[in-house]
Amino acid sequence: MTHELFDIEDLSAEERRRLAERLRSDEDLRRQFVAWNALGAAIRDEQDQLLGDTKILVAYALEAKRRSFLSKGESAELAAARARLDAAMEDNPAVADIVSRIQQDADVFDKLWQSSTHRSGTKNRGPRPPRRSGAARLGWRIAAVAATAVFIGILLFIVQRDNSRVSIEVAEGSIEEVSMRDGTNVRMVGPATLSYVASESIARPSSVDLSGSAYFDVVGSGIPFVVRTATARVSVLGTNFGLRATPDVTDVVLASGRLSVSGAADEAGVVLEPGFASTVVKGQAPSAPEAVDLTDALSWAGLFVFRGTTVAEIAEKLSHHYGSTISVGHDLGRQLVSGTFDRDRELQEVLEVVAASLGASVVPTDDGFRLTGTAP
Amino acid sequence: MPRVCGDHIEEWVASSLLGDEAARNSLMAYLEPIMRSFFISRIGSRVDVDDLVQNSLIRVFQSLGDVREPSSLKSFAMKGALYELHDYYRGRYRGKELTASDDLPDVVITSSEATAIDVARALESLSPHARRIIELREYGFRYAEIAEMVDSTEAAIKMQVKRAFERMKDLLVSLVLLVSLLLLERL
Repeated sequence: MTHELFDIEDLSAEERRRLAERLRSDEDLRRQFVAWNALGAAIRDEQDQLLGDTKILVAYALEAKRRSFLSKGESAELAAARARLDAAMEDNPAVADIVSRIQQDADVFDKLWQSSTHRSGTKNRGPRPPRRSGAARLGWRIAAVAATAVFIGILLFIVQRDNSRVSIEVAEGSIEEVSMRDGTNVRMVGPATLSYVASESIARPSSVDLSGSAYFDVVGSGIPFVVRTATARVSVLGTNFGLRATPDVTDVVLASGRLSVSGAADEAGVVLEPGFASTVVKGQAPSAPEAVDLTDALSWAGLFVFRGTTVAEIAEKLSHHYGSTISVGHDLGRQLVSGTFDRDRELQEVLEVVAASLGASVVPTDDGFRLTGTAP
Repeated sequence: MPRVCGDHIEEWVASSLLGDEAARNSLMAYLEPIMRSFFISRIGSRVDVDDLVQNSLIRVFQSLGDVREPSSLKSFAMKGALYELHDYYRGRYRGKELTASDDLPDVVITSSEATAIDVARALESLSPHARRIIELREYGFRYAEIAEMVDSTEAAIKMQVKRAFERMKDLLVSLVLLVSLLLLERL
């Protein structure tokens, strides 16, 4: 049986189309596909019986370390379901995994809560990206929901629709992320406006118009994605890049993949490789590609962008940003890492991800952290 | 733009309960990045994060009236986030099995009909480890998440699933055919 049947959600549109064709023409494969899905549906039905409502399952997981978090009503409901859940834990190792996972999720939430409380009381913490403003607007909307007891669609951004054209505006000092159905993500750094023609039938528009700054994470689908600014036209397949556009100048920085950039008149352009940038001045052809330091060149996006960067260099940049000492084991310094991190994530969180990609460990020290290739 | 200093949480909760919109906005501005960081750290994909953040915040604000002590806001926020996250997992693959077979209505078996399949019998043929992986998958975890949970690699997990299915294949296909025949008889 082809492996695609086991992770359909990870297939590209083209791979799904090919699979559907094979399912149409291969009866044996089709039966296996139905059998696999039927098994999944049956297991899920059985799990629903076994685990019951998510609220009670969460209460069951929280009870061990956070009993005081449960309301009286939740405790009563849990008491009624306890025998069933105890038996499920006993009989099914996956249930124990799920409960353990909920407890880990709670620990992660706890840490984020603590660090947020700590951060809000800390001054002069060093460079910070502008805060997102979506919450304020969402807050207003939720107040309206509470007042009218009517649920209406809630959007995080100021979105205006003119027929099928969507326009998203982000105010100065704010960062907003726009996610499209195919997984393409646009991180808008205000002031910025993104507009495009939306349709229920397509997962992503084929082109968008941008004024201001944005970092694009475009999922590869085999169909070109075009970003137009006042002075340039950028055409990509799957890639990550930053774009800063004013009425007179557009700067393009490519983090990964490949893209071509031309002037607004779409004359012959230049092709960028990762780690290169080009500038398009109004009425002119794009400048020749120029090598840049991605982390510096994309700092305006509030991101650390590492592409094939040595661990030693990453440690230096993080040390500088967070004002903390980070040492690196001899065996790790020259290893290469790729990744993108929000600059408002906690330092330890970023280091843990870097370490995980290397099979290394993060050890707290008196003045910071140490990345080491061996278990602490 | 509301202030986002966490020192005022209790004051915001108390004022929100009295209908103070500015306090409610401040509370939202404080909670939103925590929720966002939480969901991004748990599911990675940013595609679904906006919905999860919004739904969690709605849960918190719908239950604000039950927050007797402002200091207990954290527990309400945590529970709201956990409910959303695990409802998200549990719904991840529901209905999705039909998406690749939209053109094949003659072979689709619905969830309720699938209950006629003897899951226990099919799963009995598996090792406890393989069964555990398939159960976690059907709960809604991705292979990479399962690999992390059982201390393995994504490639190894996928291989286990493939082998497990190979082992169950004949039994499952015959059960599916049987169910199909039963359905035909019902018509």
